[in-house]
Amino acid sequence: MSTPATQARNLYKWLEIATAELIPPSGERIRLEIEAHFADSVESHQANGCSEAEAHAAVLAELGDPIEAAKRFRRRHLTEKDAKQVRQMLNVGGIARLLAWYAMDALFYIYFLYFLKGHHLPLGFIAAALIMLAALQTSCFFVARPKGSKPDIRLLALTHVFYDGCFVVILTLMAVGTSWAGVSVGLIALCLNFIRNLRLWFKLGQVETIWPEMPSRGAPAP
Amino acid sequence: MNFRGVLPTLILQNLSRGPNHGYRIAQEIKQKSKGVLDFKEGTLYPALHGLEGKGFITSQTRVENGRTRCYYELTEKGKKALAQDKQEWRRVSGAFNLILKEAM
Repeated sequence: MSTPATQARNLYKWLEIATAELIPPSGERIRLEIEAHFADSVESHQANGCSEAEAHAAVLAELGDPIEAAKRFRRRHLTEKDAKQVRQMLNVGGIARLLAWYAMDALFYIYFLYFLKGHHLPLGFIAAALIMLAALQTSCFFVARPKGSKPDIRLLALTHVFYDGCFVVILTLMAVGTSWAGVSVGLIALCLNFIRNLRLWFKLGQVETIWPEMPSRGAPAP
Repeated sequence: MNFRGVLPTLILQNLSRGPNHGYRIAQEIKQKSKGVLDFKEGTLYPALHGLEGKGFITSQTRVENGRTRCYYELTEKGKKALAQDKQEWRRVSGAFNLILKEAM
């Protein structure tokens, strides 16, 4: 027969499963709430005539399936993976890095102009696309580093969604009618990034008011 | 029947009478529904956190008798959402009753 001590260990096992993959502040918050709920519920069962062991067993059963709970908590809280993605977005570096990105963009277009010889797009389109991507990149940079306030993470995610989306469209337009071979890997990577950022943007809509969860710029990895 | 979809509305209704913590919210819903609506913790807390994420409720941590409790409180946005949910529920349940009556 299981004792209250083993059942208490089961509570921690339940919590471990239910809060797996969540960032530590979320896991801690859930742990404290469930522990208090558990203690209240055990007291209530004991007041109704259950022994301590019976009360613990009943309350553990009432907790439900930890795997299902984990799925629901992951929808409502940032996971380690989400936090890593947010940190990557926030880690924009300084002006020198932004200038380096502009240079990368320019090199990318030079490569394409060379690679896609005889492309059907007018040079004006290429120039407009280059300016638009540079503008979106600049937006990502300044949204991630607002002066005197915390960055708006959801807006940052949305800016990245626009950037990746525009890049995908431009790349597709450039490749249509010429060659897909040279762009397929880049296009797939961009599409995946676009979906990843879009998913994060949706999720941040669910958790954005829970500010303690948001890793601040330059915060160490949990 | 799966009643999980109505949990957020039930939580908002409970909090419309004042701040409350998770355990008491669950108990009050269970008592008022005469045991029909008994939500497990693994369902209740994600729903509470979801409502907080949407800005319908706010939370405040208090320590009582050595236990860390999170008290939830309805916001103005939450009050509006509750009013809308109630209206929608009356409309849908009215239609549902009409169909069930017809089937009898």
